[in-house]
Amino acid sequence: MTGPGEAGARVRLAPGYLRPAIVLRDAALVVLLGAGIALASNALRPSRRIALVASQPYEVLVPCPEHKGTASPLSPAEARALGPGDVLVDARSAEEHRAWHPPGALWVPFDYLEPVSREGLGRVLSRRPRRVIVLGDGDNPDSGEQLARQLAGKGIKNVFFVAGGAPALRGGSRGTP
Amino acid sequence: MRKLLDWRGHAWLCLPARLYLGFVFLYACWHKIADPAAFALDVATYQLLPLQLVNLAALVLPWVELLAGVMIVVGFRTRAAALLVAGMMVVFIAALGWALHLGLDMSCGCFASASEADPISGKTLLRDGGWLALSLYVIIFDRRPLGLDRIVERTTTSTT
Amino acid sequence: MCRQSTLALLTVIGVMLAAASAAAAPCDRLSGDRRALAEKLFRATFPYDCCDETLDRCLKQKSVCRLARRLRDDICRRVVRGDDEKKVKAALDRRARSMTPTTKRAGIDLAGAAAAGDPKSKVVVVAYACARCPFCSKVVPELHHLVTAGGLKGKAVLYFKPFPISGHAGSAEGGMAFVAAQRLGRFWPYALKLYAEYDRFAVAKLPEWAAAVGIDRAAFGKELSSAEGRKRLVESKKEGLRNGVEATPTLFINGRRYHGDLDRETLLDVLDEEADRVEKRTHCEAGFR
Repeated sequence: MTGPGEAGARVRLAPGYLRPAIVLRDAALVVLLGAGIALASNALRPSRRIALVASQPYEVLVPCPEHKGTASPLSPAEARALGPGDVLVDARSAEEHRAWHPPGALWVPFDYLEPVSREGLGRVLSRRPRRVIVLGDGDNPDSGEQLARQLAGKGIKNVFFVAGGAPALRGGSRGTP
Repeated sequence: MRKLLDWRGHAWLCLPARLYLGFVFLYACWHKIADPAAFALDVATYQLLPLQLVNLAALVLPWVELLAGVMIVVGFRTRAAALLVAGMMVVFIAALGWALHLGLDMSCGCFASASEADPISGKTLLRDGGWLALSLYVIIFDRRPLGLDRIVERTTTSTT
Repeated sequence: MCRQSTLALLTVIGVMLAAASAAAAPCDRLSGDRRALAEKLFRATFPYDCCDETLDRCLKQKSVCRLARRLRDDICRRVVRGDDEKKVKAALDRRARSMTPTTKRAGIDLAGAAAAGDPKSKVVVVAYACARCPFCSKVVPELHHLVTAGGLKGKAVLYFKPFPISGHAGSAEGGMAFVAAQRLGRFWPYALKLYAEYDRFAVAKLPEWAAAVGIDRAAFGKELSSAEGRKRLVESKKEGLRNGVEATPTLFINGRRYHGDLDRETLLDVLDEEADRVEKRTHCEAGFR
């Protein structure tokens, strides 16, 4: 039913469910209903039941992990036979990289105290790698494995490291430095 | 202002907002109902509620989310549902702000809570603020929400 | 006068009895299906040392060995807490892995590391920890208290090795601060101060806290950015990685990596057991409870 003039669009009286007092009442009823269903479902589910009041404080803390990712080792032979889409990353220091590195290897140095830089991460990703193979110093711990796990933790898929690092990859014959 | 409030188009604009909010809440409440113990641990991690209230909150909240989500999608007591949504958003934003203030960076892996995949940050705060704004829009401007209530209203008035 | 002193004496005895019963075995607090669970676990557990039978049989022997009593109390404590069967078994498994003697001890360089507690103790606990790890901020001070003033005083000695977690902001600076405090001879006061101020951490405050515990600010500032300090920190982390440290805090008890729970009661029990084993050699003897 429309009245004259601009008031025509307005409803005569706000329907009950729009009035503030009713809205508040309805909201409160929903909360009560929710509480009722919650308590009932809790009682009826013995496998998933929790106590209404926790008796022990929750053990909220766990040891902080160093690495969130995993990386598998590749043998030096496999690492020498890389295909398209494989990106080799050299995790060693600048001097070691300059002294020798496999052709085409990306230099992303690993630091035990600082996580891999955004810029380094970007350089790896910009190559759109199918697989990332990290070459380290072959020490114990191997910096290649450490960087590989760090990259995997940042979300890069298919990360590997060369077992034995650069010394293993170069093989027995080491050229003059 | 009156004219702005009375514009009939609001009901249509609010519809996608309502559907979006409703589905966000329905999606969010699912895992909390499925595993109350894990959600209770999440709640405890925020260190906001005293221990005695953690379990009750963890049990009741997901069901209120479910009911409010269904109501706001279906259009039953939409304003009340939107009010609940807004109220819960205020609570979540407060908890988030508190956690950020405490420096609780849950993505560092130091917490037993499984919500590491969704680290909290300023972005989360902005997202929640956006949802709060949407729900406030629905509360204030949706005068004749499309949905169940309107259908019922139409059928009852047409019979008179 | 006589009546008053009798009353006083009875009160003292009453208090002592009450205290003794409060310290009674946790198993006495069990009833109903919790008790049944505990007994089921006794039948399923084999002590990792001292007794070749299942725990329930070991407990029925004429002279019950100390380890059996410890394991019994451990199981009962966990059942009282509400842990389910799977959780208790997993915890016992981790305890066994930690306490079973191994031939290969972790190589840990303790030169220059500050000792908390009696350095002559035969139980050596080494903690690898990060300055910005919330769990470390609880466990390390707890351990420090246990070995200097608590239940492990005189029985165990605690050493700290910094292990900065790469992902934590400020962990490297915190680690450098640990090394600096170590080299300037006031490690433990500084470490405790750092962990006490965990929630208010800022790199700029590191020298302030040094001054607060009596370290010369200038010397500290120099150490904080020294190449030698960095080298030491990296060496400490590398050593941890070599020894299999994957997360902080990680404890090593007499060269064996500890996999068990890090709460106060469990640590006290486990380190007490280790003290029995290496110091007094009463590990497998009959305990008095």
